Amino acid sequence: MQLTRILELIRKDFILEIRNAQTISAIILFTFTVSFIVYKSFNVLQAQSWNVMLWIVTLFSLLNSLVKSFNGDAAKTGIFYYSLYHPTEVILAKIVYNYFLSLFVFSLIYLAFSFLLENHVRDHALFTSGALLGILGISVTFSFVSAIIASQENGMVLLMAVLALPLTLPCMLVMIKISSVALGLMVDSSVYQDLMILGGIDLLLLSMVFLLFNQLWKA
Amino acid sequence: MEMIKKDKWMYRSYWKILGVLLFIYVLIGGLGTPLKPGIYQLDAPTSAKPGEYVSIKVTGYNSTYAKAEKVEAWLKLDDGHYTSSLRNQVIDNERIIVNFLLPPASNKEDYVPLTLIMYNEIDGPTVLPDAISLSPVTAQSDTAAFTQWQDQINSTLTPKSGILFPYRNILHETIRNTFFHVALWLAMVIILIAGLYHAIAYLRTKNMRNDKLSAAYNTTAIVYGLLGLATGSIWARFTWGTWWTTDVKLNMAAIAMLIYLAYFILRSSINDFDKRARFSAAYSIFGFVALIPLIFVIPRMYDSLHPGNGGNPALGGEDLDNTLRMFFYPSIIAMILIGVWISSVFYRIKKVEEYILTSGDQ
Repeated sequence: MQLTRILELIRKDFILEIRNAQTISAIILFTFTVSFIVYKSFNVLQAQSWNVMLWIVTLFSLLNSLVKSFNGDAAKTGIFYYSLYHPTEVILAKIVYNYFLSLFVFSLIYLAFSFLLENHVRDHALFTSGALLGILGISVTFSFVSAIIASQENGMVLLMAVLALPLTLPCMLVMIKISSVALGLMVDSSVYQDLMILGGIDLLLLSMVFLLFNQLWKA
Repeated sequence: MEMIKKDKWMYRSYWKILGVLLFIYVLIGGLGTPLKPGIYQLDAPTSAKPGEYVSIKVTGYNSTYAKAEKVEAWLKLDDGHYTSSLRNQVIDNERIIVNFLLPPASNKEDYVPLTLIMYNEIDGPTVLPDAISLSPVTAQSDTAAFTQWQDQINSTLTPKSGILFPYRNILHETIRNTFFHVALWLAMVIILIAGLYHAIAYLRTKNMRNDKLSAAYNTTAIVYGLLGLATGSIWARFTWGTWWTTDVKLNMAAIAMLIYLAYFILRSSINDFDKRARFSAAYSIFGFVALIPLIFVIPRMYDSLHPGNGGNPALGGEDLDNTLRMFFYPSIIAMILIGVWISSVFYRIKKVEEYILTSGDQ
């Protein structure tokens, strides 16, 4: 396991994404469309609803963006990677790549929400650190589940939603709590403890993925 | 279809009989044992001024006011400071009117909740906290106030003997649900751990026996979880007045159910045996780990009505007394044994299904 090999894999994913511009442009369009639907449905959004809508839209956009993350690999090139790379390298590269993709999607939604509606965030440092940790947990979970369902032919998105959404709940709950503190909706002096809990959940999920991915990859 | 040597214990019947006998014991004893006497309801003003004359109509539960030789009642200010009732009018076994002349002093400039204590030689002591509150007056120093609350509880209060469940003011008869609701959840956790063990064992050995056992245990755990939700919901209806609340523990339990139901969707969506075994084992391990923060971390971040949170006691101290323990522990063992029995039946069904699918043509 070397850093350069992992970077190679990330670079490969990135190049594939750029070359096949259809997926990434669909994601961008999806985020703006959903943000616009939220904007026109509410017109004026209070801070609390803003907070919840932001995370729900993010959750479902990430679900749509990451659902196919192992699809291209599994079809033909899977055996090729299997012979070349260690499974830990593959999943690490995939998680890093998915994490940056998720952050990109989240920042798009965040910008759209700030532009169309209003930016309610008061404590930007807290909001950002909560978002960084929470999205890490969500993208790890989605990567794991998309590896499980990579071999499925039909009903992928539905299966992904059923399998992954309940698993993201611990991350989502803690993250929404942190961001409501950052929005000034509630006062909590122990919010840094919540950040640590979120980081702990991330570590737990990450270690499970590393332990279990070996088993999935052989399939 | 040959029997696997390791499965021999499933075909033995002694542990199944033990489980059923324990369950029957819990059913009979847990539902049949009466409650201790208690104070069910009060007809009284919510607050009274110091020096005022109050009469309180008490409705008792399982009580014997008419049968008893002498009924005594006290209002308690704090430890060691009581005022006793002037005279009591017994209406019948369940109803009595107790009259107090409140001492004309209080030690606080605020409402003080008074505890009603009743005693007779048959029922033993019965207690109702916050029975009535003492209106604020100009506070006197502790010593001055307390000299007026000087009645003592003279008789030694011997509790009613015999096997009786404790009387709790909100729970009443539903305290028996401890043997079903709580025992179901504990048994569910044990069975889930058994499922987790077999999922890990499958990934290590690739033995299909472990896959089938893991799925069987998880199925039973789901059944137990749904029963736990149902019994909890009935209990919540009685004690909190609603079938379902936004309470964090209830909702975390529901999410746990969602994760394990998704496990079965995943199993049914993959046709290949090995792939299904591997993927569902991986998912169930991941799901179990994701449950740890849901069950042990997040409920501690929020206040909750549910026992075990926000100062509500769970299984500690006074809530689980020795007569409850006599049925609670056997109930857990019975639930686990019956759960393992159900799981072994699911396992054998899966074995037959596989047998039919692979060699059924001949």
